[in-house]
Amino acid sequence: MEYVLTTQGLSKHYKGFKALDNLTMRVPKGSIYGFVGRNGAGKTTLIRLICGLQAPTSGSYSLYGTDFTEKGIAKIRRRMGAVVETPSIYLELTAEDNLKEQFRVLGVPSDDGIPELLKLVGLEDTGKKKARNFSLGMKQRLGIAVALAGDPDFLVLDEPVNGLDPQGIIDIRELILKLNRERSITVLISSHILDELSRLATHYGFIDSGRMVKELSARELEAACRKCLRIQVTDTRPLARVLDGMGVEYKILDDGQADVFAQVNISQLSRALDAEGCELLSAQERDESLESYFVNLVGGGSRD
Amino acid sequence: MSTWWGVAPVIKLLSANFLRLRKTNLIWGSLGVCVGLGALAALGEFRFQMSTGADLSVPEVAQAKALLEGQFFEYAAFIGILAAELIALFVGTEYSDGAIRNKLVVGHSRLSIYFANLIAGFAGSLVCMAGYMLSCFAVGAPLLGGFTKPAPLLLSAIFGSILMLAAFCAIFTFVTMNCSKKSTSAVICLLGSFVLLIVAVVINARLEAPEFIQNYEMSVNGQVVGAVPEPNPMYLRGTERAVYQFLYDLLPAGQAVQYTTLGFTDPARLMGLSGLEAVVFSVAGAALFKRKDLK
Repeated sequence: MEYVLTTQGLSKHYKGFKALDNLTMRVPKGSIYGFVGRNGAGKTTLIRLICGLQAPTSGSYSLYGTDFTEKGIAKIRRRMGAVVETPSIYLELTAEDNLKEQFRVLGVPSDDGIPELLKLVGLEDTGKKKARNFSLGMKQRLGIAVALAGDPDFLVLDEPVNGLDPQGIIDIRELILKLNRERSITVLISSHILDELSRLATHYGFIDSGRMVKELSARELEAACRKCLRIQVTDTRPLARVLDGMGVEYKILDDGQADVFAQVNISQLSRALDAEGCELLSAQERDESLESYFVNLVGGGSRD
Repeated sequence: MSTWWGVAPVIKLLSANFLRLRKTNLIWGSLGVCVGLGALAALGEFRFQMSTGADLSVPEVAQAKALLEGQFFEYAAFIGILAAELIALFVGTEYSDGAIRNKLVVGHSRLSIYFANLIAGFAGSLVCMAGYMLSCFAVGAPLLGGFTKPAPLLLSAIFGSILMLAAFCAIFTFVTMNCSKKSTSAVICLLGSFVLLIVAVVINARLEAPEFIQNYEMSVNGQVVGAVPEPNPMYLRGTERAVYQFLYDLLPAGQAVQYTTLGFTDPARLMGLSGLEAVVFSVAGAALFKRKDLK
């Protein structure tokens, strides 16, 4: 698999505080990578590092296979766009002038692409209105348009739906999906709004206290969070035989527990197990959400 | 491409900076103030001369007083303050609006960003300075007569004050690029420019102090019967005078006072010191900015 971003043992310390601690992650090309963690987990710190705003204390990262210390990294960054924390836009300029400004920063010879970009983010009718007078959602969309000015292959969005109203959230979601599907842009989104992320992400990275706790694909996560019946028995070997006989999908967790991914008749199952000399101790329906998966992964205690 | 020794990225950034400079009210407001001040200075002097009964219609009378020069170089006194405001607000916006990130994310080096901002701030200040000079000359020349001082002196004052402005800009860019808060850098730059000016005026007063003061003797009926010159304790001598003079020449605000009054004696020394300050502050500022953690 080709990776757009890889980090190896990346650390960032601020006066003794470890904001990032030996973090290793891989963002596959073409994915929407949901970077999940609570406030202060180190999401924004990682984004600041990969955007070149700060230098790592130790470890390394590479973009499109080019290490951040290599000379060619500046050229590689040209393929990147980012919105870090708040949208980076000049409030005293109009949407069009903000894009003109970024086109000049990038050395784009013509401003012809600006109307299309404004249309893409739904800001084509803002005219002479200055960005100062935009709603938060409009500012966020303009920030994304500025990040898209260089026609990037890799877009980094830090908490893009923070503070947005429901319509704003939908607009941003649809825009991200459109960019990913129609332009094949790899997107790294950091967020702690898990429900929203679950509607977008194809891959996940869970971070806690500056460390990567788990990296997995949406498919793997779906399997982990799949609705199931958790059965506790005295021995899982006869259980496996019975479930095989019933032709249902299951997963043995340990000697006494298994998850069954089908609706089974409990009385029938109990009788079949009894015939095998196995006792059914309990059966509990489980429907794990991304939220509960995250809580189970990083622990539910408060950091504050 | 790595040809052009990294100049091409600076040109891109400069193009963006100049676009923003043109699009914002800051430069037009500052330029308007300078143009207005230039015209007012010339008009004010003309009205004052009229009130004293001077006949400025006679060219020799106007020129003998060197009235135009007196107003023309006034810009040197305030251009530092204007540069402080312009740079702190223009460059500070990069931080307050977060737009500096857009430049770094797409691969521009910190050195390119630093020098593009320095050049844009200097160019903006220079335009304002030119605005004052042109309006003062346009209004003043017909009313107060032309320049009377020798051309080399005037040219060295103009060229020297441009270098002085470069030193000011280097100092304010140093502060603004290394302070992430626009309001803080604006306060530091503005306050700093005023403090520098006050220090320069104090130094000037000490250097201008006469060597001797007259002690007048009076008779009982109040008539002056004699004047005995006595050494002035405020008069600077020896090393102390040399230190004060060096500081006066070194400080851009000290140079500002000298250019305003055309009271400089060694223009090459002033230009050399300005150039040196501009280089030192630019190199130090860029080195600090290169290591700065940005948010």
